[in-house]
Amino acid sequence: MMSRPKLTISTRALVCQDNDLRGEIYVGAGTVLHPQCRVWATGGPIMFGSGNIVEENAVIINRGPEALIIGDNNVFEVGSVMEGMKIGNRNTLEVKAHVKPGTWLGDECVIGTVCATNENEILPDRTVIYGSRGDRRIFTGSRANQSTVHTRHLEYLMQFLPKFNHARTSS
Amino acid sequence: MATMLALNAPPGQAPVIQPFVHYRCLCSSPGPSATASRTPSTTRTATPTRTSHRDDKDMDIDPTTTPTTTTDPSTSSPSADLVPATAALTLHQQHQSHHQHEQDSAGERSKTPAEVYDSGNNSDPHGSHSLSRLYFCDSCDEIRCPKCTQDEIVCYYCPNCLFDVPTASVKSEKHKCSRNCFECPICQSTLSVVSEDPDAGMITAGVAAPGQYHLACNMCQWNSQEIGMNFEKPTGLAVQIQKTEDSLPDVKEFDRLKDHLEKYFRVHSLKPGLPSSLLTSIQSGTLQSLRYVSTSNHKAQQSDDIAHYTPAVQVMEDTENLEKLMSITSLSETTTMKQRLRQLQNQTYSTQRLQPQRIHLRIKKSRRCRSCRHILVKPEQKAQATGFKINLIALSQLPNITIAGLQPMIVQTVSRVILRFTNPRHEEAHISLRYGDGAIPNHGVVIHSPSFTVSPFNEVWEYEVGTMVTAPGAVQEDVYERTANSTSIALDITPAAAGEVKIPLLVTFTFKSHKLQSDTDPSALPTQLVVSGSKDHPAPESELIDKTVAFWTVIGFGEALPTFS
Repeated sequence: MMSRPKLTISTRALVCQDNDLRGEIYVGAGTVLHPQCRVWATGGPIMFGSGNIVEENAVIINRGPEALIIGDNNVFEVGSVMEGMKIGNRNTLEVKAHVKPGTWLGDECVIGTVCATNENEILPDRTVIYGSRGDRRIFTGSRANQSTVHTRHLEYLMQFLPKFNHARTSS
Repeated sequence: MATMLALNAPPGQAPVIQPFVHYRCLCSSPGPSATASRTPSTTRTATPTRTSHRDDKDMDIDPTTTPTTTTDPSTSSPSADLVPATAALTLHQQHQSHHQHEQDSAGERSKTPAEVYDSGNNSDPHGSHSLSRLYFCDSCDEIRCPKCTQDEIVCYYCPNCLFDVPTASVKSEKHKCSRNCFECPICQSTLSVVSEDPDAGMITAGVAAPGQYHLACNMCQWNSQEIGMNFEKPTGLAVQIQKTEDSLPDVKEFDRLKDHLEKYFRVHSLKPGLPSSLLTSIQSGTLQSLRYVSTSNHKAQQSDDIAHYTPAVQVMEDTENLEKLMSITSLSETTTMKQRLRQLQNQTYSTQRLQPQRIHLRIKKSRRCRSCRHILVKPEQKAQATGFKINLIALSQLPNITIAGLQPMIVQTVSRVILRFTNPRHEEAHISLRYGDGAIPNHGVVIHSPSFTVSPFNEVWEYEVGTMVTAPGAVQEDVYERTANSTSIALDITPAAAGEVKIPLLVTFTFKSHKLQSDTDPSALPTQLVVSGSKDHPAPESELIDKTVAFWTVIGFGEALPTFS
């Protein structure tokens, strides 16, 4: 039997039950952790900023001794795996994306569906990994549209998830 | 196939020879009837690049022939308008002696079992295909392969918006969707039209800001704002993009060159226009090349009449591009081959100059039998409908042979093989097998029950475990195993030599058919397969007649090992 997780959850965050949280986890305001996600702070603590979304079957693991600091407004989509060292703001890990151990993600990166980073690499801001061959590019267009979509997404989740799920509170 | 495998196999390791069941299409086999009935007429010279019988068919086709004309009763024999000169003569005789024996006229098209036997009696897998790739023409009662069928375009449509594009406007739209469908210049996925204003989805009374809409790729996050492309309204974007496309110097140059040469084409009555079907494109292509070859000698002076063409755009020495390319440090700074090929008009090296491309149209094709002109496969006309109006694929008409049990082959040792015959038809089928002795090397083959029946296909059985009629293993007189709509039989094979074991197997398949066009004497049918249009004696629709189809299969059982291993 594993020990109970040490959770510090903002009152404006939404952390569902039926998920697998281990270790020391801080959840900032407006962050949503869906049911069936896994957040394992087996090494150092994991600290979520505000407005993150962790969907079903997403895995976030921090094995290292240092804290894993997750910025604001990141999206971890269904089945994505985050084992990196650091992640900035407004990143998207698409379905089944994999951020390998030791990777640093900047801001506004997109790891495409089923794409993976290399181990121990530093992705500059606005990197996109896409396609079956894992092509990379750095995009330049505005993502203003993206942020409005994200806030609406959050609003929707905050409204509907509590209707069908029990929420956790700080331990 | 074996050679291909040998090429792919890693060095020092023997290639794995897989068992297979292939059905032979007699179009490519040098059978006696194939040469007799398909001799090109004397008036036409065969092109050297094509096989003779294909030329005959190609040239005799009226491009405007529609399915309705081929089924017209006036053309009593479906091949009447296709087989020229000599054939027309025998057809005439056929009309006169209609009630006499039809052996001669039938030999025109349908092969007698003896001819079928001779034409495919070898173990060479060349010209044979797996059943899934074949068609079965039910008026010729022969297997048709992709070679002896003809493609025709049914319709053009956009794969994204599924809009049926009328054939008339395909050319002017350059075979691309002229609505709102674009593909990403970077990753070739479909772009979506995005509004700057998140509330733009709702109808607002406010005046739209200029340049409010742009294209965005959800895959690689490309954005048309990167190249300064914005739109004022979310519809009719193709027109705007085509304007920029048309203004490119290379496009202009091409149009000018086309205009210049079109005059020449018109003089020589060569139509450079878009053919309405693949059929006509093949045909006109052959004719054009023929005409060109034959007339090039004595019209040499005339061809000099083309006025000298002066290009409007002078291509400068491309030092700028060269320098740019020399200074590139990362491959992502330049466009990939795929991206350039998608943008043929300017093929830029700079990713900044890549433009969103309109999505290429797709076609639906129908397939037609080359010898009787009947349609074998015809999809629904609508792009949204995925079904087929006519679907004479071999899988749904011929017994499907699978290797159900296979013992390793050892030279001079009997090994037992189980072949399963599955009947896709709703009528009971009778199958008889014959081992072709033309195989090299000639392996010893004993077919334990060379003649057997297969129960009809019934949808209900799809959901049940096949009901066992006989226990497996009883070989003596009966079949090996009998389940729902399949019958398995046993073969004892004694490989004569090491190497791949391939055996030719003649399958004669008899089933009940609702054929309207039946022979006057049904008793003659089992030996002679004629579908002659006997309009004098129309058979009632309910009447079932026995139809027999004979075809060759080549079945490979993998590699025979030498005795000592």
